Amino acid sequence: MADADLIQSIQSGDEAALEILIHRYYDEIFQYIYRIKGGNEEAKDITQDVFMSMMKALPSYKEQGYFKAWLYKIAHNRCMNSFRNQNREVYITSEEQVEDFTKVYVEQAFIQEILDSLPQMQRSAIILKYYHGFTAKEIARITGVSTPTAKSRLFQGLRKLRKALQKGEFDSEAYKTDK
Amino acid sequence: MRRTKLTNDDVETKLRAYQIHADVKEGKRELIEQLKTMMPVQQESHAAVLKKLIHQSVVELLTRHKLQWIVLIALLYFGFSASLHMKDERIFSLFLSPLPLFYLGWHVIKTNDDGMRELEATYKYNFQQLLFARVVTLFALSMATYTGIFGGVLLLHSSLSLTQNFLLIVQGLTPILLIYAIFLKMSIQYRGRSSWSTLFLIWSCFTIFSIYMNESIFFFHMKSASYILLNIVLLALIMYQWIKIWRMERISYDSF
Repeated sequence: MADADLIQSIQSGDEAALEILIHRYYDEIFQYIYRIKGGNEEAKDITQDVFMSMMKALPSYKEQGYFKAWLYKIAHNRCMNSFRNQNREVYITSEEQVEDFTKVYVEQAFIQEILDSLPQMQRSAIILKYYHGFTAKEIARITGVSTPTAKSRLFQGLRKLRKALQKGEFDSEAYKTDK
Repeated sequence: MRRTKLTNDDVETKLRAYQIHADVKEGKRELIEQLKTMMPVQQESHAAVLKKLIHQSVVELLTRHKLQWIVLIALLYFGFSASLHMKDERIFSLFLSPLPLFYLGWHVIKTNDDGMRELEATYKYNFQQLLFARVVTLFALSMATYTGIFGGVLLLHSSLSLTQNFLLIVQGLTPILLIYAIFLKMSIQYRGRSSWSTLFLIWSCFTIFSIYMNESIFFFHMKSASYILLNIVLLALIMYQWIKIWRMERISYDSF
């Protein structure tokens, strides 16, 4: 069932359509927020907030084929608001660290750390492109900037990521050699 | 040891390897239950939503703090009347005109404060829609109060011609539009009460300059046509900001 049909069904009170829509988008919106904000509980709260906002906007929403981008725009705005209004929480809690400290986890934490080191807007652009498959033009719409600005953020972000990854690899190789 | 140069593809591969495996089943279930309580969702046109919210904002802003309103109106009336006996009628009117904007603006800022987030989550309408209705109402009420009172004072007490009276009113609109445009910009960016203090500071500086520098200030040397032009530019800016607020979470799909 296409998004447009789901929206129409929800607007006319179909609860099953609502469930399908949530199952379709919850995970990816949660992951987008998680990668930007870094905290599990906070990501859950913001995801909840995003869908509540979506629901409130549905009565006056006119579907034109880009529901997904609209949903991401709400998510992006919520994340940016959250950055403005509170200090960032530590992205790995001690409990999480104890839970699983495998090599994969360390690598993933390293990627999250590198993502966190990027400026918010560059991070958002990179995540939207590489994890959610949006084009520069779509990213520009979601983040409310011009396409050249979105492209520039992607370029700058990618350059910083490459540098950080290279440095990280170099450091870990040097560490192995020392041992 | 030499560093190996990473390509864009390498970076992409490393990024994509980072997957999140969080347990969100419970959160998803809770959310579905919560959203179901908001159903059925009825279709409402933008105009209907706007009309309802503006009506609500007018009631909110006018019916509360009635005593303050009466004091403000009396202050404006006597202030404007006094300005007619001054060497230059504009001195008083220019800095008195934004008073309704400050008074009502404070109530708007208070209701948009960050502490309201929790409460907003329980509202039927979005923050953007509420903010839009409030700022439009604020604008309309500030303009109506100023033009109504100043126009009344001029009609009753002014010995100037009708055109001169009209130009005086137009000139008094400039500070309102200017401060309102700054207020809108701030409302889009921030949700704190401190933005009101910033506006108040701008207005205070303007007032102090007006009093101490009197006629040497740039504003008093501008021709009437310049005021009209400036007002048109400010109005266009205000319209643009309004559209921005209304579309805060909307995407113009046609340009995709």
